[in-house]
Amino acid sequence: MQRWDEEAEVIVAGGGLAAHCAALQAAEGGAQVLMLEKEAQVGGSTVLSGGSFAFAGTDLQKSNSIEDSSERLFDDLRRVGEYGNEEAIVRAYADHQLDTYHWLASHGVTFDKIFLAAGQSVPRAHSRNPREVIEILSKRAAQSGRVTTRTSSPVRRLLRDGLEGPVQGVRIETDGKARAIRARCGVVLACGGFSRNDQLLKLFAPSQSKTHRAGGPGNTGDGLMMAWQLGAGMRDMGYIKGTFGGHPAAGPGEHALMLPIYVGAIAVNSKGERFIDESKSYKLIGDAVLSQPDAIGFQVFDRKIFEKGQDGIPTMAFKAKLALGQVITAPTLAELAKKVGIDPEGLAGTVAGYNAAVDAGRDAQFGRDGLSNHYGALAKIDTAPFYAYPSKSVVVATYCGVSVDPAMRVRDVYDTVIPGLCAAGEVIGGLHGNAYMTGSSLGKASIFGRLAGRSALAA
Amino acid sequence: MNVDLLVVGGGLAGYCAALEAANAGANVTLIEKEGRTGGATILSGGSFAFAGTPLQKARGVEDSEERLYEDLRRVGGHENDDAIVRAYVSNQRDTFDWLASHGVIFERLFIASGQTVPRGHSRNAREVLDIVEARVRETGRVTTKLNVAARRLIRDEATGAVTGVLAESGGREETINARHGVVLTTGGFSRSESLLKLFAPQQALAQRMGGPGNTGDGLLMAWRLGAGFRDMGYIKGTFGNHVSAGPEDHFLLFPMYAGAIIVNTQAKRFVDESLSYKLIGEACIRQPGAIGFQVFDQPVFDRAVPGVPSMDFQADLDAGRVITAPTLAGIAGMLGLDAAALAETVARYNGMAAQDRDDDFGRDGLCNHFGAMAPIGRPPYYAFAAKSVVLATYCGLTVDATMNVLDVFGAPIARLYAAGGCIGGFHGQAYMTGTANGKATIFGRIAARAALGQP
Repeated sequence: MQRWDEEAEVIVAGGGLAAHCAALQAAEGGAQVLMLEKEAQVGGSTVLSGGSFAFAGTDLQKSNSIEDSSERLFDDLRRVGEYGNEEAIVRAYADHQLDTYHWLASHGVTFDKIFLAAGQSVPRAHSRNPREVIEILSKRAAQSGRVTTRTSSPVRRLLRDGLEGPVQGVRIETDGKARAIRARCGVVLACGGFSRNDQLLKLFAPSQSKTHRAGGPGNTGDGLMMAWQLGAGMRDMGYIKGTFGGHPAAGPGEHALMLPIYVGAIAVNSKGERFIDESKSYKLIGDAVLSQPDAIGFQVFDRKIFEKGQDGIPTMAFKAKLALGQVITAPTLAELAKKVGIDPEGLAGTVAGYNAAVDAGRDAQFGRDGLSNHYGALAKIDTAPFYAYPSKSVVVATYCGVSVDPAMRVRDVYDTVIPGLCAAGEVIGGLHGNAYMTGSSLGKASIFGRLAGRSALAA
Repeated sequence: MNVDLLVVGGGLAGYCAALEAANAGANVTLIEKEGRTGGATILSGGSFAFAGTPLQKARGVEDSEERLYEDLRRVGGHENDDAIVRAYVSNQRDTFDWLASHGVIFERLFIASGQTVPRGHSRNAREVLDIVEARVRETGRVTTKLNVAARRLIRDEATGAVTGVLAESGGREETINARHGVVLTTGGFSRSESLLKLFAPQQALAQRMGGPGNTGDGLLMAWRLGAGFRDMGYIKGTFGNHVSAGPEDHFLLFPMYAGAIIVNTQAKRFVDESLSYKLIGEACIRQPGAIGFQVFDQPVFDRAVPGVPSMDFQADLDAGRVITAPTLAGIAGMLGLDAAALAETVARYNGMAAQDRDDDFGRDGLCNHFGAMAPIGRPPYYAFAAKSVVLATYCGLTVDATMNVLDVFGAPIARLYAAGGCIGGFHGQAYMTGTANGKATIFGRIAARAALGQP
């Protein structure tokens, strides 16, 4: 018989957005919840993210005259995922998203900025500083009187009844000592993906060996491995891709993606040659840059494009990156090329060719027909000063993981539910499929976190 | 039903495990899901990668275990598991002799993908399996059951050790208990669309090949017990399968390793043709229509190795898969290629071959730095239209050097062993010809001995 050192009703492994939403939801259902975060601070990958939530049919959209609906969001998610995602999981997102938007608002998480981003057919990215979101929810959890949060408490193993029975608790490690904690109702894995685990990345995505890595320092796949040990199925493992736009000098804990390409920059390699239609998904560009010399690209733009930057949105914060020295500027293209290490003649020829293509209204070389996803008109790169942002492909998140049912109950490899075990956030697979819509990571963390909290309480 | 050892899967690995166990005195049951034995083995080219053999010596080929080891690690990009590669290398000569002692004699030797010296010991794969099956029958200790599928592994509730399987036959379930545990030799998952989509969605445009039973049963059963994986991201197609091939046709032909070039539908070369056929396969799925045409001339044709299926050009000419024409323009016409573009590609290649230097893709030989490039210019001309095919998955369960399956945290799963196409860790990034049959034989034997506690 297992001896328990301690007990709770619901145990949540992890301390990012999915964990907070699961804990708070379970507490609202009346449960005593123990939230166990491996790192010294809560926040995980959430606080490194761009802070966008993909919601549809919201009052914020209405007040901006944007027509959107759950059905449209569902269709967009399926299409972006190239139907490689799981319909029932996408359906669960679409069905519960508006309710979660209101639930977040009721806890004080409101949004005031909205914009169009990757994979969206209408502006749907509801934006808010993610650190603030975690602070608000963390405070609400504490106020509930039912959530105990413990940091520096890594969950190491799931403990089940016998070989096949329900998950009954977890083994944690604090100060080098193992403790068994019972979960009288259930366990929620909300401990993120594995973008910080080189071994797992090599196993599932060796083609990404030349990418940079980002993500919360605790994102080493703990949840995936613990569920896997119990025979959990997996979804989307082959779709791991880097995202284009990370600065080579950025550390894994910095949110460094910047994407002037989507307001008109071109992307060139060190020979000064373009290598792709820059209006494509940043994941596809991420794939393409891996086959360039040294796996590096340079987003090159001029003053007109620079002025389209938006300070509050990290991917568009050109001024902030200029101040950091990551965006390089020079009065002429030739000087710019020399400063960042691009072949000057190659760059001059490429920009001249590109500008001629813009004049002709046709990019014969790569077929670019807009700024992003067929939207927006191309503009010439001709107004000094000029700018360049060296960019690599970065695995910012793994977007794949354990197989769950629409109530976020973990299923084994034969699709049978493993009793007592739920999961949410980046640790699950099945939502994204082949590619990623901006805002769907924080969206699924909150929507699925609540579903998992509810299911764990009912387990 | 109670036996000493249960072997799940009736391909070469399964039969080698059964023979080794029976010869050690164990009573063995071997179950096979399909209605016939042979699995992926009998679809294979029938070559075995062995080093330092009498056949090599007789042909004046110098080879050694150390050289085989270096080749295996290098071909695998050093991403394969050192201990597993070592296990192959240190048991391969003994296994060559073991096969010979049971009547499996090799007469043909050739160089193939990933080998730095001729190391492909070749024999019709069906014959090899028939011989081993006959030896298994002669022991009187092995019961073979066809049309019996293992559905779940069963464990001892107290110790967690694997004690047998829940099997199914014609809708009836049966428990088979095995005192010494279970050896999984169920093969890979090249016939499971859902597992291929999960681990290798980029192979959607590649053809599939493999035994009809290769749906990943062993992987799934062990995975449910928490088994770890190796090499899942390295699944690649193999280039060179004829465009007309179905999943159980082995229409692989490698004139590129005798000097052919490979062009796409625009009649342009796209890869160093001397590379591993898996790397060529990767390049091929990015070409229009995911197709590559091997184009060659009479001197290349004359370098065929009759009797070795992947190098027997005459056999494929007779079967109509290799086409021929007196001129390159004729070949272009038959393939629907632009004749001028093909002529230009061949002329450029010939110029570079004369200099022994390929500025476009870095080809420096016929196969893996071996042999010299030669111009393509002596009629008649030939071509073979090929695609990339996932013919084996070359990845799977984590095992230690005794073929004991390990869980995701590296702990052994007691009394669960695996060998052949369902294990990972041996190949790494790419595949050397002859190692699929080689590992089936070598690791099948190791697994049986380890299960019986006779390492």
